[in-house]
Amino acid sequence: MERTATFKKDQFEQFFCLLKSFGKVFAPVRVSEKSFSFKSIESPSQIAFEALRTILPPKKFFFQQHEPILSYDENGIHEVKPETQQQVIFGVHPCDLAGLGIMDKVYTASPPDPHYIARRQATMLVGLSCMPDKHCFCKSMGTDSPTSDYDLFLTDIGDKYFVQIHSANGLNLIESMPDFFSRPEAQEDQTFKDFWTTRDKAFSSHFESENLPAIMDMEWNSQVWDDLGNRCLSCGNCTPVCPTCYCFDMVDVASLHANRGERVREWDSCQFVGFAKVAGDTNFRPGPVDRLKFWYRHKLHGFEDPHGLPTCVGCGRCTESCPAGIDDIVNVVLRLQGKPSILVTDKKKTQAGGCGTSCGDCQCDTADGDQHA
Amino acid sequence: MVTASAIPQMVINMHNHTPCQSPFLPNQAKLRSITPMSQDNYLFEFLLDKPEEFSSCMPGQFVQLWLPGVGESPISVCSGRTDGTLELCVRKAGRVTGALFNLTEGDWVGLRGPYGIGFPIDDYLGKDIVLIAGGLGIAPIRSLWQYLLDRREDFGKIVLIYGMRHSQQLLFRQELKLLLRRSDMRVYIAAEEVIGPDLPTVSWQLGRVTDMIKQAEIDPGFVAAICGPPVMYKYVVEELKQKGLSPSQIWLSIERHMKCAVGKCGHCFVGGTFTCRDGPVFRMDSLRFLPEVIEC
Amino acid sequence: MLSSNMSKGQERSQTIPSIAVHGLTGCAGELLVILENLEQLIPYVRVASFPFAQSSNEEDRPVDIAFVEGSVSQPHDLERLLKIRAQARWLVAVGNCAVWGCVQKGGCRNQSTVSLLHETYGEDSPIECLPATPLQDHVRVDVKLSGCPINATQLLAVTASLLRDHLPYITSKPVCLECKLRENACVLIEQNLPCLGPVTAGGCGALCPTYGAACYGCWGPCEQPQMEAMATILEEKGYDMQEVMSRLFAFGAPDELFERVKKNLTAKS
Repeated sequence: MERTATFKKDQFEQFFCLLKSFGKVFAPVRVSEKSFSFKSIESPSQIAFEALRTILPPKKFFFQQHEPILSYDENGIHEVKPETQQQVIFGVHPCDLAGLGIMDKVYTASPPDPHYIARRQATMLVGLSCMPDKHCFCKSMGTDSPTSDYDLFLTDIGDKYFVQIHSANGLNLIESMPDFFSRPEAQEDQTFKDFWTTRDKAFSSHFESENLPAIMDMEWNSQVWDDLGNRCLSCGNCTPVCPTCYCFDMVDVASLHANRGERVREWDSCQFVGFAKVAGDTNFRPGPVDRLKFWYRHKLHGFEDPHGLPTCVGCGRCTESCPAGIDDIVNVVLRLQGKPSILVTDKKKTQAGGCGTSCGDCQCDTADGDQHA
Repeated sequence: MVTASAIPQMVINMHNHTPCQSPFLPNQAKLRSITPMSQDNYLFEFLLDKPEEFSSCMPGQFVQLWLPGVGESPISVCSGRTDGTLELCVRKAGRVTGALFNLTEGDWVGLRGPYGIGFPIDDYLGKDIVLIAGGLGIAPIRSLWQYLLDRREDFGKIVLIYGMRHSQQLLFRQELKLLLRRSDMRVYIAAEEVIGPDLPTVSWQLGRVTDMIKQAEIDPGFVAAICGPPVMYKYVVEELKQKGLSPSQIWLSIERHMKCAVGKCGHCFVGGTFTCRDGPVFRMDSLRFLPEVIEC
Repeated sequence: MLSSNMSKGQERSQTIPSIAVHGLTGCAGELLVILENLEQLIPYVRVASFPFAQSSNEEDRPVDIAFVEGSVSQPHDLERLLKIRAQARWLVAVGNCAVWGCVQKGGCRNQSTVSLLHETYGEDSPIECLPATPLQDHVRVDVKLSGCPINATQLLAVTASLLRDHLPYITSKPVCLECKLRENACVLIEQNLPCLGPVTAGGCGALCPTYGAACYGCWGPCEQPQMEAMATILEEKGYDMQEVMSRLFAFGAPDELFERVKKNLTAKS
C-alpha cells in the first residue's frame, strides 16, 4: 500500500477534524522554552509543528509507564485487559517511526504482549517530515525515512502537505473525504523529492554505521567507557527518553484489603544499580561504567537475538537529556572508530591543562581534534 | 526518497496480530510439603493445577514463582520428574523467598513456566557425564541426575561433584546417601570447612570442587554440566580444561535475575542474550564472544 | 482460592493487628500524613498508641507495627526508641529524619552539638542534646520509608505488606525517573538549576521540578548515588564546591558516604 495525495496547509483545520473522526488526537505540544511533549489536543493551534523531539517518545502510548497486568482477589488471579481508545498520534518523525518499528518487533515476538498490541491496533500513526538539528543522526542509523507500520506521512512542501498513504486505515480515512485531497501534480512530486534531497544534505552529525557492531565488540574495553562512566549520574534519563528502550520491572501492589492486589508493569532502566542484581546481592553491573557501556552496546551493537538489530534510531534524545553530557552517541562512535571527535571528557582534560602538543600521551584537544590512541 | 539504509528494517504489520493471553498469567499451585534441608534452604513441593503445562519441563529449566502481594522470583526446577508435582529448593534470601518460608502446607502460589533452555539431554545421550554443583547450584543439577538415573542405560559414566563452603550447607543429604551407594555412578562431596559437632552421615572430604575434579576419573571424552555461584566457574572450567575437555563439552547454568522470563524485560540480558530465553544453560563456547558473562 | 494464604496473619493472632505511631525529634510531618490516612487503616488495624493524635495510649504492651518519625536528638528520644523497639514486631522508620537524620544531621555536620546547643538555647540551658542520628544507628529497623513528608500511597502499601507478614518493596530509584515520566523539562539542563534529582530517592513524584524548582534532595539519597559525578557537573555549571557539598548532604546521608565524597573531591582538586 503506497499512494500519495496532497492537501493545502491552510486547510489543516479540516484535516485535523478528519483525524478527530478516527479518535482522540495527540500531537507535540510545547512545554518549555526547549521542550515538547506528545499531549492530547483539541485544536491544531496547540500543535508545535516545529518540535523535533518530544521529551518522551511515542512508545509511551503503547508501552505505558505504569500499567496493571494482573489482579487477584478472593476468586483467583485475573488478567487485566488493556484499556484502549481509538487514537491518532500526529507529528511522528521518521526516527520515532523506526523506533516504534523496533518496539513492534520486541512486543510481537513470541510470546506477544496483549497490552502493547491492543493499543497499537487502536492507533493511527501520522508522520510528519522534519529538518535535522545538530543532535539528529537518523541518517547514520538508516532510519531517516518513514518505515514501520505507520498510516500516513506528511511532508512539508511549502504551502501544501504531501501525504504518503501507507495503510488500509490511512486510505479509508483519506477516501472518506475525497474532495479534500488532490493527486500530486508533477511539480509537487518534484518539490517532494527536492525536500528529501535537501534534508539529506542538512545533517551536520554523521558517522558510518556499517561497522558498528564490530566496533562495539572490539572497543568493549576502551578507555572511553571509563572516562564517560565516571561522569555518569546513573540517573536513568537516557532510557525513558529512548524510543527503543523497552526494559521494565514488575511489582506487586498489595492492597490493605487482605485478599486483593495488583501486579504492575513499570518502566525500568538498566542504568539503575539494582537492575542486574541477583539473590545474595551479587551485581553483574555494579558500577556506572559497566552500566553505561552495556546501554551503549544495546543501542549500537544490538543483541544476538531474533531482533538482531542495533536499537538506536538517531533521534538525539539521550544526547539532549543527559545532564552529564555523556550520551553523545555521534562523538562516541567517531571516537571508537578512530575519527576526529570531541567528547565532554576531552574538554575537561583540556581545561585542566592538556599539554597542548600532539604528544600522544594525553587526550588534549589538538588542532584536528583527533584522538590520541 | 533519499535514504542511507545501512540497517535493514523488517516491518511488522501490527494488524496481523490477534488478541492473545498475557504471558504473565500464572497457574495456581498448592504447596504440598515443606522439607527443611539446612538452616535457610527448604525443599518445597507443589501440587500443580495444570500439570500438563509443566510436563515437558527439562532439567535446568526454571519457573517463575509468584506470591501474590509480594512478587515473583525465578527458581530452578529441582525435580527430574514433573508429572503432577514440582519441587523447588529455595534459599531464604530476599523478600519473595522470605515470604515463601512463611507459607504452610495447603497455601497457594502462582507458577508460570517452565522457561528457558535446560541441559541438552540429546547431546548427552551415550556420553560420560560429570555433574558439578557448588552450593545451591545443586538444585538444577539434582533435576539432571534424577532425569539421567531414570534413563540410566541411555548414558555412559556419571560422576557427581558437589562442593560447598560449610558442611552445614549440605542439601539432599538422604538422597546423596543413596547415590553414594550406587555402583553406577561416582559421587564426590566436599566442604571447605566442617562446622558443628554433629558429623554428617555422608562420606565427604575437606576441600573445594576443583580438588574433587582433580581426583575424579574424568576422561577427555566427558561432557560437563555445571551450576554454582558465579565465582566458581572460572576455576572449574580451568580444571576441566586440564582434564582435556574443550569448551564445546562444557555446559554452564548462568545466574541472572529473570523478571519477565519471556525475553522482554531486559533484566537478564547478558552480553547480548536473554538468559531467560536463550539460557540459563549455555554451552561454554557459545559464551566466548559475549562480553560480561563470566571471566574465563 | 487465595484466601487461605491471605487471612493467615489474622488467624494467627486471632485479633486485629495493632499499630503505634511515635514522634521523636522531627516536624511531625509524617505524623500528619499518618493521621490524614488513618481512616483507611482503621478497618484493618487497632491504634494502640498515637500520642500526637489521641489522649488514651497503651504503654508497655507489644504492638505489631510501630511507625517512628524523627531523629534521635535527645537522650529521652533514645530511651523511647529502645522501648518502642522492644515492644514492636516491625519497626518502620518514617520520614527522612528517622531514615537519614535530615537537616539536623546533614546541615549540622560541621558544628559541634555543644556549640549548637549554646547558640540556640544559651550556655546555661537545662536541655540535653545528642548529635542527631537516624534510628538505624541505635536499633534494628525493619522498614525504611523515607520522605519529607512520606508518600501516603507508599505508607498504605508498606502497612499492607507488613500486615501480611512480609517486607514491602520500596524503590529508591532517582527522582529523575519520576520527573521524566511526568515529561517535565529538565531544570538542571535547561535552566542550570542545581537540581539533585539524579542522586535523590524518588517517591515524591518529582514535585519540585514539576513546578520548575530544583530538587533539593529532601528524600535523602537514592540507591548508590553518584555524588562525585553530581558534584562535578554542578561545579561545571559554576556552583561553588562548598555550596555543592552542603546541598548534596543537607538532608542527611550516611557518614561513610559523606567522608568518601569529601575525600574523592579533595583528591580531584
